[in-house]
Amino acid sequence: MSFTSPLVLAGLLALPALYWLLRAVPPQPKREVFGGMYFLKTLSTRKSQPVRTPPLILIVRMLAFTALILGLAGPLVGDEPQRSDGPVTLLMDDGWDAAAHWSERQNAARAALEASTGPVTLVRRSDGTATPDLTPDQAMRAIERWEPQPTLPNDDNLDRAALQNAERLIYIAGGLMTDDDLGYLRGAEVSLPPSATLALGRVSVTADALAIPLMRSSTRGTGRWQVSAIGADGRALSTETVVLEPGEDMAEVTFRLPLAIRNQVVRLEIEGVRSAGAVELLGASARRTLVGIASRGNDSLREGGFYLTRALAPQAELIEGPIADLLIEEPGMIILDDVGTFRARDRDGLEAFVNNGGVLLRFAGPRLLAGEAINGDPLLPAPVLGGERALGGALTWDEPQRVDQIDARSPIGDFVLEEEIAVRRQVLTTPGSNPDVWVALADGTPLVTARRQGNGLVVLVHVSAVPTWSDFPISGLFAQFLQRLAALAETSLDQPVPGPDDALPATKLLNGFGALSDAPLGSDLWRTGVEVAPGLYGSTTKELAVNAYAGVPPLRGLTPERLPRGARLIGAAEATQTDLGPLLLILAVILLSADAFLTMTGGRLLPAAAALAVVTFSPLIAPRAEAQLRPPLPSLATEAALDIRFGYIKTGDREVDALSEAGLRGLSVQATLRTALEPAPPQGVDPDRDELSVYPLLYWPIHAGQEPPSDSALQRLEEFMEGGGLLVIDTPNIARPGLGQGGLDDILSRFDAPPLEPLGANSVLLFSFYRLADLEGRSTSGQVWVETRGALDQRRDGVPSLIIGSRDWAAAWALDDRGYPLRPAGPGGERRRELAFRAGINMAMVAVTGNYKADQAEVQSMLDRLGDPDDPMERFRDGP
Amino acid sequence: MTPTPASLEQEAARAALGLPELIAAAEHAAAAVTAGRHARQRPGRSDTFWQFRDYAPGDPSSVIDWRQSARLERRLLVRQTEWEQPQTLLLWCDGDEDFDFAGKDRPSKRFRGQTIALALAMALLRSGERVGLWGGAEPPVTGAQSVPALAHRLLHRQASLTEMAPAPGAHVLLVSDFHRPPEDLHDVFARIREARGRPMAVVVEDPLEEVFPYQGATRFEGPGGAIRRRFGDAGLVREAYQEQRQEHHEKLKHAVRLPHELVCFHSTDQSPAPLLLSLLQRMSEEG
Repeated sequence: MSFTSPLVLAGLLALPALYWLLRAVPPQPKREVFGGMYFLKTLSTRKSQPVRTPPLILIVRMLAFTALILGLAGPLVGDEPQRSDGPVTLLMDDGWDAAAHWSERQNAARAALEASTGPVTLVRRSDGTATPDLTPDQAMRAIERWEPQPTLPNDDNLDRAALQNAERLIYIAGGLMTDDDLGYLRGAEVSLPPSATLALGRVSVTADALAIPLMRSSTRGTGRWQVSAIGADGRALSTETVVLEPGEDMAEVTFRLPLAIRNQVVRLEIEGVRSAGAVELLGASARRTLVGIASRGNDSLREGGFYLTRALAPQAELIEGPIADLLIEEPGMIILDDVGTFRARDRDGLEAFVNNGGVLLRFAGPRLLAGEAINGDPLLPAPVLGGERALGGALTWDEPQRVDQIDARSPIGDFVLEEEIAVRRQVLTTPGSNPDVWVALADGTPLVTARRQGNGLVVLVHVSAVPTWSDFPISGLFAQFLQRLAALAETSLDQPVPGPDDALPATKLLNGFGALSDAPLGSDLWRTGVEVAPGLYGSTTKELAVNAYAGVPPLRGLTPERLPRGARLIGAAEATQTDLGPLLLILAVILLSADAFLTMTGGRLLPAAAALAVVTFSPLIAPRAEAQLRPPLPSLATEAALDIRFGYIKTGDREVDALSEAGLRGLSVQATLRTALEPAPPQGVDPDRDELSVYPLLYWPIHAGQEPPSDSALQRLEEFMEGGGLLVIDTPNIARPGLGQGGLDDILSRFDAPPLEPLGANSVLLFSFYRLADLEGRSTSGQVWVETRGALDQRRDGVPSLIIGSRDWAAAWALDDRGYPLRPAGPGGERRRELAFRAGINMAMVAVTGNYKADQAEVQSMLDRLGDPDDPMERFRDGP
Repeated sequence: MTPTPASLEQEAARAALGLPELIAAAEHAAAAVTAGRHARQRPGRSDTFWQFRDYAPGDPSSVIDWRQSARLERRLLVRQTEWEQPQTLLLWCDGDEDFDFAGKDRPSKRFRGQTIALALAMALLRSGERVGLWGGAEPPVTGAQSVPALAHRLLHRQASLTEMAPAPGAHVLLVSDFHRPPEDLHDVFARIREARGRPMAVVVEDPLEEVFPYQGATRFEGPGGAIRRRFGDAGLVREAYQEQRQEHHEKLKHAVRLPHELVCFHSTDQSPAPLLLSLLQRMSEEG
């Protein structure tokens, strides 16, 4: 324990003086309001000398004072950092899993360097290079700039001898590392990460699942993590929970997903861990195609299915069965092993399949030859000649032919023929037909032909899928060929196929924090056998994922037990000292407030003092819950939100506003009388400031020469409409809204209003409560415009959000406090006013109930369907 | 809470609500009170039969009791009813700064005093008596409908106790904590007595004033803050205080000279109902 400013401790000498003072100065007398002052005022004050300060208060004050002085003196608890002035070598793990505790590592490195004054050599384990000697300040700045790397620690360049001979070696260790000889750490000071680091191993793609190991660097404690499979759009397609019990450092996470979803997975990641190690990228090789095989079984070496299934199993999901069953499963590729004749339904299905982009692969055989010959058969690249060509048999002159050429422009153009494949027997296509020849024999006769058909591809292998006709089914080319076709079925056929020696350009690179970003120009190209930065290379068909960790060598966490003898642990906790000052100052504050309480209550309310202490403390303990609260609604909006009420937009013209208010009040009263809708009194709102979303209906009178609303007000009105509100714009003095003079033109030109159309006869506004012919107001002139039918269909609920008319509704609705109309009803008399109320109630109903009555538009056709409405027996006539 | 006429009325009504049951329990008191009329033992206007007398010239013929007259020969009897007159109750409820004191969770003394006064007024008004304010400009009123007006006037500053002349023959209810020289009360009682009235005084106090639970250095303040007094140790003045108060109470009791006069004490932590009952009883006793 040490003090940052020990001189303050001299204040403790003042304690006796404080004791004397406190005894001498009594606490402030309590104040009591009393009703018997008549008697008290006559009493003499003979005994008003001080009583002694209660001992409890004395103790509390002394303690508070002591805590205050100690707190100000800045006490530090913990080991003092080891100081040295010799050269220091700092080895820092900044590899793939380092990002998870990156700032802790930087802090540990800084703390270790703080105490030293000598030259510093920094060594990064990601590349093993050492810096020249730096001053501690330079070193700290360098560490500040470092970023974690997405690659595994590379120990090849590590100069172990230099490390071992370093005068002082500080090792800021990462989590998982290869099982290395750690001898060079003898005598080093090692800072281990505060908690386990996590990383994902190598994903393995099996027939029905994606499996990936989750590794952690320590085996202590039970850990529960979630691993997500992320799709191309960043959505988590599936999330699995993995639990590591004490003693386990690895567990396998298995995602069992339907193939269609599994093929969308582009990466797996540990949730909540940001590091390159916690991300596993999946390339095209992890995607599997659904392949349907129609063959005569796969049980023995004499059946084609046997070879097909074994060739495709690593790459594709296989289903076998009759053609009709295969088509139902919607595979990407269908393989027909020697099928000659189709049922009409199968043929139609297959043709549709190919035209829709499927890949149809056919193997020759006796049945193919015996099959029906259709001119221009869409299921064959070219018509097949009846009778096969036999080579190298007992009765032939020819030697068996070798497979010789692969067309470089074909999707399999990058394949290399490394073996001799003999063909003893094959089918031939009619001369003159010109299919694409992918593979040909030495004499030029095609072995594999293909033809684009619709969006799909028909491929014919001119030999059988059993090795009787040729060696092809037992060659390496066979598996390669099938797998490439399966990959082709999963992607667009128009993708260019990279050649054999093509270097793949990097498209996205992973950074140390596990985020993918576009690869900068000039990034390393991927080539076989070359180590490149983790990321995605190449494009769709051959998209290649390079991950930091390729599954070997095995990784283990660096634990204290694995350190060689002589290595010393420096924990993050020991590296820094704890400053007790703030705690002591808080204690002093608590004691002083307790003292205030004691003084006020004369010591009778100790529990209350304790409660106060808790209250004082609680902000330190409790999470800041208030930060999650939404901002409170203003009081006007709160009132509006608690009741249904209409709003009108204040125009600033007092007379207009008063009329709007009276109008909506009248409408509210009438709605209450007539309907189940019982709105509270209306409120005026300022669209610039007030919360609009709490009103179902806003009435907005626009008069000529009115102050135009601001853009922000219009923006908020748009949001109001978007949020389901109904805006009624009334232009009482302008006959033709939209074309007229005054403010509306200006407003509509700036207002993102939905497209408008004249009120149609089947608008829900005309029958939401009353059946009306028009939405009449005090005037019937002009046209009422509402959102168009088409725009309504786009909206989620089909409820109009905007009504524009020049009907002077508010004047018709306006009632005074006693319920008498404020304005004359206009031409048409009280009947007109009644219709205006009905129009208003209809609008209010639409605003509140939405399209509830919209199906009334179809009432006539419903009645028609029921039959003649005048004939009551009509409904029963058809009955049993 | 600032008392409003409505709140006082509500409170008094609540206090008076318990009364009917109490009245029923104490039948004697109830009968007298609910009769509401106080016979003057003279012929007068009421419904109560007093006597028959011979018809004298000048009597209106409508007062002749024809049925009784028919039993007698050549005599005409006139039916006379007894003269009944309602009592008048004058209320006074006021006090100095001390009167505004309210202990924790209790009403202030003033509010309780006003409650008592109005509750009594309600009970009397219900039985047809007349109630007015001591020294008020308005004449006494009758009928339950005048309760709100009464409550309103009660809440306002009352006439000074020492100056006003009492109305002749009225009951006078004085409610206060009487934190004033006891001689004032003696003086008022004497003046009421002279005017053939019946004085009653209710001394309202807060229980804290009786217990005086204070200790340690304390600064006492009146409810208005006008008077302050500071003691080094309040515990030490308790005895002297209680002695003074006791003496004051004794002197207050000495204001009573005649049997129907009354000085009683009420504490704000008690229910006002028993007090009201005893007051009603006392008022009916002397008929």
